Amino acid sequence: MDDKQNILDELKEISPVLYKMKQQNHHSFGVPENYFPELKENIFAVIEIGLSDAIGKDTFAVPPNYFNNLSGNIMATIDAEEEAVELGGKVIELQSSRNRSRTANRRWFSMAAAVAAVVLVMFNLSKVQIGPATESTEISQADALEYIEDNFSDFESNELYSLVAANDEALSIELSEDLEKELENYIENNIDDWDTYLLTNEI
Amino acid sequence: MTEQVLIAALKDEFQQKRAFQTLIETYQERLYWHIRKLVLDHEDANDVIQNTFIKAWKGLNNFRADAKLYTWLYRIATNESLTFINNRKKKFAENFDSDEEYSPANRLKADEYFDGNEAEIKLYKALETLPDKQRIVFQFRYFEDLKYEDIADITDTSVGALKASYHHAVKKIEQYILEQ
Repeated sequence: MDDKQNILDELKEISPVLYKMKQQNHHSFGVPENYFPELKENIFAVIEIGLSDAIGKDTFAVPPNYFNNLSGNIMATIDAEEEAVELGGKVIELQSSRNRSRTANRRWFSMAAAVAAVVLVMFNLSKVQIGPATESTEISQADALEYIEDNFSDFESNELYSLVAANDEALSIELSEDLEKELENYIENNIDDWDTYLLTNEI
Repeated sequence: MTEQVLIAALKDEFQQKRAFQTLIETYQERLYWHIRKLVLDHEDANDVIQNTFIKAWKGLNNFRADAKLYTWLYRIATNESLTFINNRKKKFAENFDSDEEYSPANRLKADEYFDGNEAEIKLYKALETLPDKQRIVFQFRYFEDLKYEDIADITDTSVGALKASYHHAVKKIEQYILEQ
C-alpha cells in the first residue's frame, strides 16, 4: 500500500466528508503565463543587484559618537531653555511650543473674556443708571466688541493676567458662540507673536 | 544531478551560483504550490517564494551538508508563509471589523487565477480558522500527501504530536463545513 493510499484511508476513517472532497479534488489554482520559466530569473535578478543583502538589514546610520554625546546634548538644551524662561525669579514650566502656544491662546482668550465681562458690567451699570426704567439693559454684541476695540489698550495686561491666573476656572463666562468667534478673531488679528508677548509681560 | 552533488556544488564558491539556479529549478514549483495553498493569492505567493529563495541563498553557509535540501527549503517556505499570513492579518485587523470581512478565502471568488467551486472555498475558509500547527500539518498531509516522518523533519515535531494535530484539524474542518 503506497503513502497516498495510506493518507486516503486515514482520512476516510477520520472524516468521510473530507475524504470525498479530496477524491474530487482538482487543481483549482492557476498562475500567469510563463510564470515558472521566469521565476528563476526574477529571483536571480534580485540576488544579483544585491537587494537581498539589504533585506532585514538596518540601512540607516548615525554620525560617529552620536549616542555617546546624545545625553549631554539633550541636557545642555534643557539647561539653556530653563535659563531662558527663568524671568524675574519666576520659573515657567517648560512646554512644547505647540502647548505653549495653546496655553497662550487660552490665556489671551481668558483675558479678552475678562475685558468683555468688565465691559458688559460697565454697560449694564451705565444703562441702569442713565436709561429710563423701562429701557432694556441688554447691550448688543456689536456694541461690546466696538468698546473692546476702542479701549483694549486701557486695560493693564498684568492686571488682567493676574485676574485670569488667579483662577482660570472662575472666569468661565458664558458667551454666545458668535461673540466667542469674534473675540478669537480679534485676538488672532491683533496680536502677532503670543510667545514673545507673554514672555515680555511675565505671563 | 543527485542531491549530494548539488549540495557539494552549493558549498563550492565557484559552482555556487549555477548550483543555486539548479536548486530553484528543482524546487520552485513544489514550493510555490505549498506557499500558494497557504497564502492563496498568486501575488502574495510570488513575494513569499522569492523571499524564501533569497533567504536560502543568504543562508547557504549555514546549511548542514547532512541535511535534506527539501526539508530545509520547506522549513524556510513554511516559516515565511506563516510570517506573511500573520503580518497580513495584523495589518488588515485595523481596517476590517471581522475575520469574515478580512478572509483571503472570501476573495478567491474574484481571483482570476482560481476556478474552484464553493466547497473548495469553504475548505479554505475552514483552514483560516485553524491554529498554525494544525493548518500546516493538514496542508502537508491533505494537499501534498507527505508522510508524517517527512512532516516531522520539516516542522521539528514528533510524529505522535503531528498525528494528533492532523486528527483535530480534520475534525474541525469537517465541523466547519457541515455547519455552514
